[in-house]
Amino acid sequence: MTNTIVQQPKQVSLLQRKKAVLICLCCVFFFVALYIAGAMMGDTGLRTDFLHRNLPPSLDYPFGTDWLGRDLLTRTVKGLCISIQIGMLAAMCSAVLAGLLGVAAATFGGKVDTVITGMIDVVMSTPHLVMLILISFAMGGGVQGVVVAVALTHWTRLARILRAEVMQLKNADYLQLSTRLGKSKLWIARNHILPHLLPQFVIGLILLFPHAILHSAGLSFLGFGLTPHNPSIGILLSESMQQLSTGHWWLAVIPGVCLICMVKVFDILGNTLRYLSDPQTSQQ
Amino acid sequence: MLEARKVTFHYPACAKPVLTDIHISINSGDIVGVYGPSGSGKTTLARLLSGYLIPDTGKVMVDGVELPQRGRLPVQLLNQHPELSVNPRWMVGEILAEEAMPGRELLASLRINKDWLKRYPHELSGGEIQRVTIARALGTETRYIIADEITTMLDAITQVQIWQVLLEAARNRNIGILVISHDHQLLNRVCNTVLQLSGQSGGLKAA
Amino acid sequence: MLAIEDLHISFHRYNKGLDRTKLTPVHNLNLEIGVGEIMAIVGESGGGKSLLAHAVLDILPANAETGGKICFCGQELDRKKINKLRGRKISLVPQSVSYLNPLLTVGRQVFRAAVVAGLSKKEAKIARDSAFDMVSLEEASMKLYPFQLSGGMAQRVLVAMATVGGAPLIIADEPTTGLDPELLAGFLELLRVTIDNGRAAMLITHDLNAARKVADKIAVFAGGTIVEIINNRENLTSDKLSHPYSRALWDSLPENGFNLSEIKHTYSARENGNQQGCLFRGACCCDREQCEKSIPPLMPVKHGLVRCWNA
Repeated sequence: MTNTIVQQPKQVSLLQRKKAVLICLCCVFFFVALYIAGAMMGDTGLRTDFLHRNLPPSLDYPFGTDWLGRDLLTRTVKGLCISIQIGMLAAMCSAVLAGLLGVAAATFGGKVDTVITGMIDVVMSTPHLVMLILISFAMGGGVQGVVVAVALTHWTRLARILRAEVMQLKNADYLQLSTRLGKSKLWIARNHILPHLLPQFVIGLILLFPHAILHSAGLSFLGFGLTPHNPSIGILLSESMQQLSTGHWWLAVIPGVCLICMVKVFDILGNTLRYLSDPQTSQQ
Repeated sequence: MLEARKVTFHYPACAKPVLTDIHISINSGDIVGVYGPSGSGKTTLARLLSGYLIPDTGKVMVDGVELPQRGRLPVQLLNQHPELSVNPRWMVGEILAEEAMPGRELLASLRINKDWLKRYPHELSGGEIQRVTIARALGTETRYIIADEITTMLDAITQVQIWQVLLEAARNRNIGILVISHDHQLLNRVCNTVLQLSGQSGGLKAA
Repeated sequence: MLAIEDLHISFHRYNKGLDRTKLTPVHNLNLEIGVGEIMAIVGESGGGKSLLAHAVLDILPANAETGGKICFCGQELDRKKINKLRGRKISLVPQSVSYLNPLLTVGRQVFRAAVVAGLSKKEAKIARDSAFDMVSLEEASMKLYPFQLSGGMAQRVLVAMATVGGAPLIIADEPTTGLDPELLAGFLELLRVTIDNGRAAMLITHDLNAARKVADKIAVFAGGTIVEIINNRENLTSDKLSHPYSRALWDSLPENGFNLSEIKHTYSARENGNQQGCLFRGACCCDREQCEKSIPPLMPVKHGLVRCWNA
């Protein structure tokens, strides 16, 4: 604070626990519904039907059809499901990597810490997309290419957060006191440190999903990721580009908007959970 | 007897030692006060005696044995900001039971309410958390307590309540207490002996 | 200058899951501070004294609800007005230098406080110089960074910062905690000088001794409200205190006996929370029918005002 005027960000709306829980439930419901819808939809919509090509959105085809007459709604929902799967897989790999490296850096300190923080800096300072493309290309593309590429480029932020958290905890008065009450290191790790890290980890993981999904879509869009055999949302968008000049706007806009919506929902879920998991903000 | 023998200490960032050749001893059941201006090293002394810091030279001895680095220490430190010495994600019940749940009598004498046990530290006031940390520090193996400005942030009534319990525990269980404060009146009230820690020359004198 | 009428502050707290309870840590609070007055608010630590300051400055947490009226210089305050007044007409002396920006020299920070308060750059420079002069800090000390200040200097800088914009009302929230006796005396003297220049101050503290050395009036805060306001023009002695809590507070000072005689009752009374009638029922000598029925209002007695049917 630079002067005696106390400045405090005013919260626009009063976020309350009830509302927060409701938001979380809605988000989760959204994903479950999406997933079930994806599984329930048959393949009929994916069949080519040259009688109904390039139809704009209508009651029969809410999202329209593409140049092969496939129903865009079915394609979008299935595409989103594939994107979620790949995004989750990539985000989990990334989070596990972050957890291991972050905690190791803070616990061992010294050279281990220097090496790991160095790695974090290197990864963070190289442009994301270039790294993603290089790694995915080197892995030969496909699902494994995308997952490895996203996992290797996204762990840094969470690793940093976890490292800082452990470092701070290590010096906390109540941890030192615990040692002097005769508690073993293992006991302290399990009872003091883990409960602090777990929520951070879970929330970090959820906030990684949207990144992972967006980037796997981006990779596929650019042609370095999934192949058309896995029609994820990125592939849909990539294909639609060729049709854009012919005025078939819905092919790009509708899946794109859906992708953004889904990413936003993940983001909201993560932030609301963070708010709930902090004993102080959760009182408000 | 808890004693510091010729203890010298300096912080890594600062070349000049904070404490030089300090001698102090606290007998079981004895209540010793240390008084001194800010910056004279009172808190450093408290942390040395309770094993949070290790002296450069000299020794801290408990009943003739050097203060152990591991395991349950017979010396427990209480400090000015009790909210820092409790885990914010633990409920009061868990905090109290970290070693072993204190007996009902102790909880009653510290006026620790039953429904606090299910609350988080940030829902209690400073004085209330201080009472909780005292209950925790008075575990059965505790022989000495270092009280570093523990009532500075508290009003006079809460201060009396806290000292009554601590003094009673000291009497009943023969616990030695080192009281650090800048309130001379308080030290005169609670302590048997009061020592003055002078910053520059770094010595302890009877006050 | 400042008049608070019937102030209530409540919070919603979650017990378990979604089950909420409402707590009212401050209720039925009435207070008036006149020009040239130092009003000390003395009471339990953690009892809600600071909430009072936060309410006046509108910096309560988002889950707080307030009721009642706060008037400043005759006009009733709402959020908008407080936002305009904060730092200009009402300023805060915080607890320690940790509230200062560690990367700027203190001269620069005091200057900026003056600019924020609405002075032009030229005026701000003059105001800064006179503020440093008033708190008797040398000009050279303007070039220091917060970490280079000693405890006494830090207190002076904080006061300079609060007064530089010409704010007539100063709120000091526990400014004396952790100061050793010499620094404390210096701070109190400084506060007195500041107020004698036509200002008013609300000094929030848990230290009755500090309050009685400097304040014109001492408001004793207990059980969520002000239970007694004592005129402190001449030396305070125990017979001037009428409320059982004030007397208990007095008796528990180390120099006055370090005594707990009456307190047990007052505490049990407080913990029973939202009951009808006087919160300190049973704590004083006599228990009247009236004590059970209603919370006593602040009633005039010889040395001030007191909330007790028996006084």
